Amino acid sequence: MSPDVTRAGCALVDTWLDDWLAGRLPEGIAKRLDEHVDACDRCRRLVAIAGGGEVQSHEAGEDADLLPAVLGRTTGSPCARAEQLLPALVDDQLDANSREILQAHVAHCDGCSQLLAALQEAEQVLPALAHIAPPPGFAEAVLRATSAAPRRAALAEWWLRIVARPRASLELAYVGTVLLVVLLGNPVAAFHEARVRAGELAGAVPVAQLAERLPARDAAVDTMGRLLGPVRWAVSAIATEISERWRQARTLLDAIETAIGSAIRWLSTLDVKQSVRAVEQALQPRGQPQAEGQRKH
Amino acid sequence: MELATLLERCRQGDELAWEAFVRQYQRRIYSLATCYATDADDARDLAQDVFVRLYRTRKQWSEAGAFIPWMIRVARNVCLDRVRARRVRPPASDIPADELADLAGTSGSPEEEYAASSRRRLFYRALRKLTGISREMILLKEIQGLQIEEIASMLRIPLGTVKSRSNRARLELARNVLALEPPAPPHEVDQ
Repeated sequence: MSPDVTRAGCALVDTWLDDWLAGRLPEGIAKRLDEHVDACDRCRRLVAIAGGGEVQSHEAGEDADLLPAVLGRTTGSPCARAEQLLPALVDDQLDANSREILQAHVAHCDGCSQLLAALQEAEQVLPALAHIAPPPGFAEAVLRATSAAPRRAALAEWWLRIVARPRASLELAYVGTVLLVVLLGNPVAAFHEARVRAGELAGAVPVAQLAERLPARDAAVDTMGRLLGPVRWAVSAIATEISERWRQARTLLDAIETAIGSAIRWLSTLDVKQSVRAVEQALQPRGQPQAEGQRKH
Repeated sequence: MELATLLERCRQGDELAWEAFVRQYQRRIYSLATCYATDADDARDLAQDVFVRLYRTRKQWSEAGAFIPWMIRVARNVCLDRVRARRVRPPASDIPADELADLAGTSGSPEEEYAASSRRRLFYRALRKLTGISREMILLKEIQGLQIEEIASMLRIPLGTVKSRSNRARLELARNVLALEPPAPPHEVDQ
């Protein structure tokens, strides 16, 4: 039968090593382990160590595959614990013994070694990140924002704080809508259809004929007349429209004022006290007025 | 000029002293702002807001011995206010961190400076990948150089928590650096 050099054979040695060395295994299993140990370098070294024998120097350097097996059966990988201690190692906050065994681990562990190197480099690099140069003109902008007009800056900050609120856009949209309705969207608005009327007026005025009637007509005046005429008439129309609306508004206000004055005069003619007494007498039960009169005496 | 003198003259409204103060600390404040900003313009606005806040509160400035931690605390509060507002209204775009900061230095030969600048950019990118808490721990302790006691007071957490968070953040940063730029194989290093 060929010797068992598979991992299953190694697992068998790992499991029954103590019993095998003590001679407590049945003959069949012991023979199988003998054959495996003869054929497997790893298990031969393991038996030598467990039996108290000396390990040859050339074999000692080849035991890299033994460590994971031992750690796997005992504490597991120590890298997690080593990583926890690496910052303290960089800060030189470990006692001598802890530092020695951690350095021994790092010397044989690529992952922890690279992590330690990155931590040490961070100590050198990170302080430089506190001195990133701002863009040109930064200091001047700060001085303008502070020394020049602090009051205006305060107002600007207040305004920015107002605008930065989540509901600011909704509020602005609401105010804008109300303004549009007030100015343009109702029949008594100041600018209601003013643009349309201004356009009609501008189109109806014969600017060219007016220009021909001028005694000192020349090309410049003609050009200016053609260019500025519609604009002038439009402005005039808008002013007329605004004054008309204002006159209407004044008429309305006068009417309201007259109505209020009439109401006040009518109220002043009423004898309120007498009316109140009449209402009270009507509401009181019989005999109550007499009692009221007796109390007066 | 000593810091105490500079602070006192700023308190008294000396505009020249204020200018000197801004020039002296603009890099430090701007560096801090970059850790909270989404792009270079945001960092500039943040840093400017910090200085405006400092200017308005100059009457309440701490004494020189405790001024730097106090200034960092004010700057952090301004930045956090902006971060909270940004959560409510996210920025239109988020420019990659590589384009954010001018990390170029001015010392050493061009080759040395190029190599050092590359490493700084690498760490800066790794820093931007950290979680918020870890980034803040690195920012306050490793970059701004605050003491653990000062950070504990600022963040209102126990000393032990600051230490453990700081160590965790450093390890996270180191792992990010290794992930961004794995170390060269041994034979390449030997060459």
